[in-house]
Amino acid sequence: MAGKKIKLKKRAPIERIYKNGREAIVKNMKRKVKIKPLPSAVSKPLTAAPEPSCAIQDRKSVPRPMTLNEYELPSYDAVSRITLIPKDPLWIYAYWEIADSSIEDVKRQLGGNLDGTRFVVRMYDVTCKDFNGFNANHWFDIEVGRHSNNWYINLWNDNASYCGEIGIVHNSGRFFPMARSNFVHTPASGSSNRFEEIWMDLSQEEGGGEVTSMMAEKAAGPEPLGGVYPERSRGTPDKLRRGVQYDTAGRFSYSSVSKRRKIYLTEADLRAYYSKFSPLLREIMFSRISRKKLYKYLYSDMSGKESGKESGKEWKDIVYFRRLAGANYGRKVMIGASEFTYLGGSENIMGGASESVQPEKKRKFFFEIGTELIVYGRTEPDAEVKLGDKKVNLRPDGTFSMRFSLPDGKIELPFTATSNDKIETRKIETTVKRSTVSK
Amino acid sequence: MAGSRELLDSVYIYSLHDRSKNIEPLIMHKGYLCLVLHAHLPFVRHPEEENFLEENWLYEAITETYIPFIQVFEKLIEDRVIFRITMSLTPTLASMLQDELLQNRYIRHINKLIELAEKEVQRTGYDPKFHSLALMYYRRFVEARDIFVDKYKKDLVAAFKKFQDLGYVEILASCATHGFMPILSVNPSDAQAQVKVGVDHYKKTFGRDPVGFWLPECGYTPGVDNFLAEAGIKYFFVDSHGIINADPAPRYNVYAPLYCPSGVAAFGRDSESSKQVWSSKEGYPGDPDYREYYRDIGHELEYEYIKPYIHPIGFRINTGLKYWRITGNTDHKEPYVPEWAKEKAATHAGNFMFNREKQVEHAAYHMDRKPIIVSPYDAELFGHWWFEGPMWIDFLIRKITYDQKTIKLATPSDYLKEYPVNQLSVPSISTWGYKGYNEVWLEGSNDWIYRHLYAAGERMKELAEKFSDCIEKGVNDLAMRALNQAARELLLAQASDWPFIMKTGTMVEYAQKRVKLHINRFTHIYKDMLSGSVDKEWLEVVESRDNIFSDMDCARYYSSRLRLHV
Repeated sequence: MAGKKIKLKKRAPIERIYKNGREAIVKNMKRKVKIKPLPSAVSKPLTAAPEPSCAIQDRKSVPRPMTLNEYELPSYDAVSRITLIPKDPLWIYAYWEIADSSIEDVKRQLGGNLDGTRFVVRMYDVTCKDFNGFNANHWFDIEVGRHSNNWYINLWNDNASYCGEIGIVHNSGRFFPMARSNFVHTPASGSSNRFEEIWMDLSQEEGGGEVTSMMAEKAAGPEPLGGVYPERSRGTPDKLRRGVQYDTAGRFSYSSVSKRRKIYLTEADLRAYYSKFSPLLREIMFSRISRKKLYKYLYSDMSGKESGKESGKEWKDIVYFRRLAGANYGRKVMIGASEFTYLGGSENIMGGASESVQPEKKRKFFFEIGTELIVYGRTEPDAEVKLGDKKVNLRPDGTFSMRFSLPDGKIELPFTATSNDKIETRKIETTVKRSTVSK
Repeated sequence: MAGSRELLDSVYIYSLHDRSKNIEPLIMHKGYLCLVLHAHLPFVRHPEEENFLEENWLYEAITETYIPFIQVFEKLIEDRVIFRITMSLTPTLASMLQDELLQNRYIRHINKLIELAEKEVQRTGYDPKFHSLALMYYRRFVEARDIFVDKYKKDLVAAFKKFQDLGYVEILASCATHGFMPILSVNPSDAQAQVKVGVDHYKKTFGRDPVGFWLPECGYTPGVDNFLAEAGIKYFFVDSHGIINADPAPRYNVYAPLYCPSGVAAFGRDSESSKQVWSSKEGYPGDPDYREYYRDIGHELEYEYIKPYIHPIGFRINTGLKYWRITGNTDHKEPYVPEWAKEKAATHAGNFMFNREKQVEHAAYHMDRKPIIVSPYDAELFGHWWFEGPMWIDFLIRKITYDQKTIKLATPSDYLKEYPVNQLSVPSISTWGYKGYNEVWLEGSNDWIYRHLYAAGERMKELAEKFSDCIEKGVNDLAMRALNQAARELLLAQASDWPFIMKTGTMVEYAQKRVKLHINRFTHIYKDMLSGSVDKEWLEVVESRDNIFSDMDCARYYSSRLRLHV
């Protein structure tokens, strides 16, 4: 990284550019976009794009060999951030970066030093919640230390939504979050206990690309739930909801002529669908249902980005609230070294995806012998040599050689050479015998 | 000659389809079998070196899997057997199959193999056990070259496109570079771009809109279906527990699809039929009569003799000529006997069919519709690992056509046409990997990559927003090229193959290098773009190396403003 940076700075002020296919030399890159290189991956609010940004020019660089630094990875530690990824029903993987400036901030608030503090990941269970910072079902802390940057977090139950914060806890119980993560939902490890059946008829959509219409309609409708599903508001006949009343072709026996697709949904179904599950759906839900109210705050914090200036106020409120709450509320659990536990456990896990067909290769000791037979000879370059009745190819100097696998048993090799003028013929017959005994 | 035959075929098929529409057969089948072959390889193209070891993945798969399948399908069509197979041909694989450099390198590769096989035919002249095997390989290699060079003019994608156009094969679209959706979707724009680039590449390659989609590793998480719906996809596949754990609970287990709320259908993998083929212990491929994969003459023959056919640096590699059968759970191996193996493949095909019949009969009894059994497999399992696999498929199709009346081959879109009313439910987060979730692609050996993948994904979005005017107008050619290349590098880094290889532990270093390489190239362009100047010479080199999707404006897919119009 360091090496690369230096190189970039060393770039000569005089630049060659390509313009309209021609090479020109300019002294000053006047149109060079003046944006300070963003140090991190965080996309800042992109409202203020100052100049028309297409003015990208060619830089005839110091020759940079393709292989140089190609395998050195960038670092993103200029901004604090934390990301969660679900691994399986009971494990979430978290990784984070902590910016020095975030630590400085906390230091300032604590009066200049970090005595009596520890770095923690605070995990909030936000299943079926529109999380606003302090309405989690419960939360717990994992002490992680200043220099770790990732952790495997063990959970108690599956099918839950989580959000995490990386921050510093003071012995007094005060918590100073430095970044909030995205929302994740862990998979269900068992079957659902909801058995109501909902059926959907897509038969009207012959060849049409309108499978998205549900989403589109939903967004367009004045009221998300009532307006879009008129069938539902008119009441769904019970026999349909059971979903067994079709004719032999599998269609509903009184299928409507309407071109609109019929979806028989209860509001509970929709709520369940949109309020649970992945970050994607959350985004959709937030942006649709409560765009005005929650969007600004949640959206900026949702994807693990540090809250921008706009949400600074709410952010402080949360911190304040937490200060009141201290460590007395919620569920606090330490899981030490979950990473090592995890890694240790993975040792005996064998096999990759889909149990690929790889018989275990466990040859500890082996001993094999193969024998081959090389027969070679020479004659006049224009002569014809045969082995049995098969012609043998001669090299330009009249030599030849043949190579055979030699199994146990007797092999007879009858060679014949005939001179170019067919007058002279010589025969050589040789016999080779192999027998193998292994004990 | 080929042309007229094709015409005949299509006329014949057409009439048959017509007939099936109007006349109900007297004895109705009771259910469907949906065979899905997922053909995929990561993008391995290394113009910078003459002999690059990992490119052999492609060459071996062409010789051992793709060409044998083409032969099987062609023979079936010639014999007037009606069949329906669902298949994916991922964008990375299709791009490699259509890449001129790789095509020419394959010809060099197959010529070398033919030369080796010729030598082997002579060498084994006094060894009856192996002579016939050497001859078999020689014949196969020569046939492969004929098909590759003469029949399809180096473009094997054209073969599969033809099968699709004739109505035998339904080709699925897939993610651009086999991105693993359950993890990538943490950054929705990444998941969305993977889907859209994949679908657009499909349209370009196969000249039609895709109906089905293969989610890499069957990796599903709710919300992904919305992206598929946006792209016009009608169905995709999940592993069994994706259906079984769906919410609300499915009425028909995996034997009928579910509609996601987005309207896209999810078909569940049938675990029983999968196990019969996949499992190395209980499955068919472990039979003692089948060919042993791990004994290759590249590792066994005398060094000086085999040297021209292994890696030029001198280390031994697989050549593809393998003379032994599995024999049993022992190091002692007996020579391979093709006739026995063929007999076994036929027996196993019969067994597979019988089991599916019983399964369908049982399921149909409890259902108000015909059950569908979905059996997806990695295509490269057949031929490459399981040498007799393509033969087994051949037997299976013929037996299903002629030997029974319970099951019928169908594709998911056939099924949805027959049954447009399906249960609405949300499939559960699932993959077909070990333990069924994300563990294979997220564990100690590979978790480090996601920090970089997400960061790059967000940076790409940032670039696309910042330069959206430029992308829209295409003003500055150089800027556009840089942005598109940045998107390509990002896509290449996202392939699920890299974390998978890191986990399985062979060729780990290569996978690590690939992720680092693409992240680095991406970051380089990113920084260049922000600084306002791009290193054109360097960019040109990178463009020529990572040339996947070279005729697509990949950056557009990351701009929220332009994405809708792509």
